[in-house]
Amino acid sequence: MTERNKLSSKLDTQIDDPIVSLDHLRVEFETDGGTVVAVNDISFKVFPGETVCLVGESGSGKSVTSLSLMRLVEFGGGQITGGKMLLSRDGKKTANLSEVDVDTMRSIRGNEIGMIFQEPMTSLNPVFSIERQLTDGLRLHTNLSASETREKAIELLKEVRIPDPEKRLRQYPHELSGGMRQRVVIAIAMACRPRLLIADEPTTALDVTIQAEILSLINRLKRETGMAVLFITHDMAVVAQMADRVVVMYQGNLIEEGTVNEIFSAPKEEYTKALLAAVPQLGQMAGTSLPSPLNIPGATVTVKPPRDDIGIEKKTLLEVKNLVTRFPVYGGIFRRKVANVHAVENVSFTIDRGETMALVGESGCGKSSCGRSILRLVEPESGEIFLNGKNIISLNSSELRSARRDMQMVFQDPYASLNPYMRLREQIAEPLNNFGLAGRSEVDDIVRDILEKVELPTSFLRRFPHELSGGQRQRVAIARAIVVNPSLVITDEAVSALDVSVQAQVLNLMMSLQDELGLSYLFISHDMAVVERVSHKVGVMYLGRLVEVGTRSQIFENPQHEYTRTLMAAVPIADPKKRNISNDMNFKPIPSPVFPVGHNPENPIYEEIEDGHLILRN
Amino acid sequence: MSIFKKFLTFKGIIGITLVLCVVLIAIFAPLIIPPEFATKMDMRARLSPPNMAHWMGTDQLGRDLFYRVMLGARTSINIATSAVLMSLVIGLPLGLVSGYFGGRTDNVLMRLVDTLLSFPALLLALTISAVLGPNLQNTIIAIGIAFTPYLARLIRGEALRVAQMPYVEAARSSGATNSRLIIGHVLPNIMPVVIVQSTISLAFAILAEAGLSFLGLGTQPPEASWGLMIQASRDYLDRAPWTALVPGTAVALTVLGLNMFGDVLRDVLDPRSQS
Amino acid sequence: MTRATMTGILSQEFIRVARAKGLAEKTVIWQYGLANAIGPVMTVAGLQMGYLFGSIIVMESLFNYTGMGWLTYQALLNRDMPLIQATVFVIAAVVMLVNLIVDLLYPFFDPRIQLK
Repeated sequence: MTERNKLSSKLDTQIDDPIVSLDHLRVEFETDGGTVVAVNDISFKVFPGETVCLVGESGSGKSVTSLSLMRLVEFGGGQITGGKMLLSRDGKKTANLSEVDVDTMRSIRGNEIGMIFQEPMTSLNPVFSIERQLTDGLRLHTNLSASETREKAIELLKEVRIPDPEKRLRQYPHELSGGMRQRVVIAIAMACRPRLLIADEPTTALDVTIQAEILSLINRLKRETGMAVLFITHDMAVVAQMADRVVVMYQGNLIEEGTVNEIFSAPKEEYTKALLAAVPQLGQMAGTSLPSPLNIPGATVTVKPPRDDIGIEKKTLLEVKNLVTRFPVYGGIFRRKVANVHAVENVSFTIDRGETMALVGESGCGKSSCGRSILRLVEPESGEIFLNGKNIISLNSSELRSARRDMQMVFQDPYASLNPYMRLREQIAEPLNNFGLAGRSEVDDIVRDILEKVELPTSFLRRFPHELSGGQRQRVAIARAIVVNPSLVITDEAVSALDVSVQAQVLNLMMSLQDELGLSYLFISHDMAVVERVSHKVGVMYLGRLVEVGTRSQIFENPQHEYTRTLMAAVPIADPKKRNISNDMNFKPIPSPVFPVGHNPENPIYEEIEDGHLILRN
Repeated sequence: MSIFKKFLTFKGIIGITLVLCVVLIAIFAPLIIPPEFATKMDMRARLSPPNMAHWMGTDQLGRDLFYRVMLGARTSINIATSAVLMSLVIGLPLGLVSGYFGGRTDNVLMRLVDTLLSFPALLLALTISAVLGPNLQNTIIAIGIAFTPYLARLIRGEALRVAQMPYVEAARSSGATNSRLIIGHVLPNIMPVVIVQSTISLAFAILAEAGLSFLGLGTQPPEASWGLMIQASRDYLDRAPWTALVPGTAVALTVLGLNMFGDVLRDVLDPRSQS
Repeated sequence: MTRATMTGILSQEFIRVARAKGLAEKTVIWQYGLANAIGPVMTVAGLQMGYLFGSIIVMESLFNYTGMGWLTYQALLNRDMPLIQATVFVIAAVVMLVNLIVDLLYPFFDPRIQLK
């Protein structure tokens, strides 16, 4: 029997019939500002056994489309005002999901169509046991007895490769790690063997190694059960790895549709081309040694060729030596210090003028803590930090205040890093005023000047943060950081929360500012592909330690440390011809950096295999 | 300008109307109504039900209830507002400092606050009033102190939350001093909560004043206040229920209006600042 | 307050997941939603006990029940310091006891919280 026929008999349908067929779908929302059309005339089909990736940026309507399929969109105030959603059911009947009654829809949800969401932390009810959450869908849709559902629950946990399934049943969500929670969420969705699995950004909130595991899990389940997958994401690299076909959406409209190879190698629409151009692809920089801006069309930032004279005299700007930062853990009746989180453990590196050093790692590796320790936003326990020769650690609070003129920070969350009650003019001017650097009228001029540099119109000065988009806010944050003319800017996941195209613009801006002002960046990120584009030097962190450090080409083309290689293997490549997410990847879970009080890990020993390329050996 | 639209809900309109009425009465009534109207005793007309001569009836001394209620408004509102202001003056800095600095400062300050918090507020007010001796000023002090712990706790919670926001860290790293951070950054961001809570506290303060006066530990005669009027009417409830109903309704309406206004205010201020 | 807590809970992701499983809306709200709300509500209920005691003083005097409230009131009127101390102490102790019981019961409402 051919593959197709096998699949066909498994599903009881003809393989040529789509499982789901959207036909001119239109979804509207009523808001204070009038009716908003979230989805406008979308039509596409999903066939059995294939993965269709629905890709777009925020506001594209991709989530709304999937929620409409499940008729969950009404709970959020949405209304399906047009079009049909045809679901083919057993025995070749088709149902129009936009018209079925509530009870029928309920029997479809969790049964014929399963759905998983983005946040594993909040997808599980915190007060119910795992067993209960696995079985209540089963008890609803099937006639299994209580003990049979329990057996099934254990089976499901085994299917998603959760170790020790019997024990897990009795546990509560907070006792599981993020990756395991997402596996449970998938198990719940798979419980009744749905023919379509809708996955709405299921890996966006996960570390890259866990993401690779989950993606390969979904692939395996797809192959084993023959179900179709509608995978929603904004990450083109994930699309390249997972999709059979791709549907591109923008502001509620369907822009382009095609097989994954067609879309990536021969995109037809302008938007698709722009989107692809904005995606940094791991491996693209091989052979070059300097950062290079992304070649996005219509870029307002003039893309200059990279500097080859990184400071005529290669002067060291920042020198970090043996930095240790630990956070206390309190417990017990008397709230005594019972343990320490070893956030930054004996980290040393240097950054030269005009250079970008990236710190990469997964969540909890200490990269953020490292950045904040350098600024002394958290107090390090020991070590030395030399900025332009001055030891930051030994400064008292007023000296520290003035030292901060020379190093500034841009934070991750563009929504929370600006004071919602302050006008932008005041927020950008604040550093100048705090340091008393300029008189009233001068401040205004400088602020205007800076705003121009970050390519925002001066009319924005009067506005409040909530009137701006994420990318615009981040530009303001950058403006605020450079207004005092610092030598070092630490960016803590500054572009992670932005849409792909906006991210590309902000990255280009940062690179051109570096070019123009001679800035150095400490670029903290978890996104390897982005890091590859912007950095001169890279340091890889794991459990608070720097496991490998070197130039960007050394690290990316010749990774030596086991962890670096693991990271590289897990990062999805934005090229469908280079599929690296294989079937069933399993990575070691990241151990916790919490140690009892008084535990002093040994000093790190580095081996230098090439000039400047250091690898941790213990 | 869409802010004002949000006030136009059913609740909002009623709330604002009630509050405005009471405030206007409190301010202007004593200027318009000569005080004798409220104190003039007419023994022939004592305990008369609402009629043309006396719109809301008279009390046991023949005094016109309508005018007494109007004039009493000022006393009650005055006490309530002063008490709430007092609790703000003490509680706001306390909560701000405690929440912003955290750590040991926070622990110590909150222990102090907690000891007061474990006493029921009304009981605390009563006790303070009894100890100090009941008169207008001491009533204000008593209610003010009784409400401070809750307000301080609330503000401390908010200050704690805001102090951890990235924009505060960002401002700190751009060289702001602690005082600038507290006053320029934390304070504006907790104002919605403070305003809403103050509105609600006003309502409770009026109730508290009525309660204290009713028990004899609040305002003393000859000053007119709603609580006193209710207390005075105790012995005549069977014969002349309006003597209690008139001031009682005044209190109820004011509290209702303030509650509604506070609710709407909360809706208006919270989502906007969090958008 | 229950309403406020519930609206907060109902906007969380797991409620959507519950609906996505096909559970009836009733089940979603009553089982999934309420189970999460009980914790905060109980806490506030415990605190409300305190306020209740304040009103008791007024109520008892009004209806002439000779209970703790009435006694406290008499003590305050007569400036009977020892009696004031005693009654206030008893009332405060009861309030603290009630709150302590709520705190001890909390792990039953919310398995994330553990007594230490």
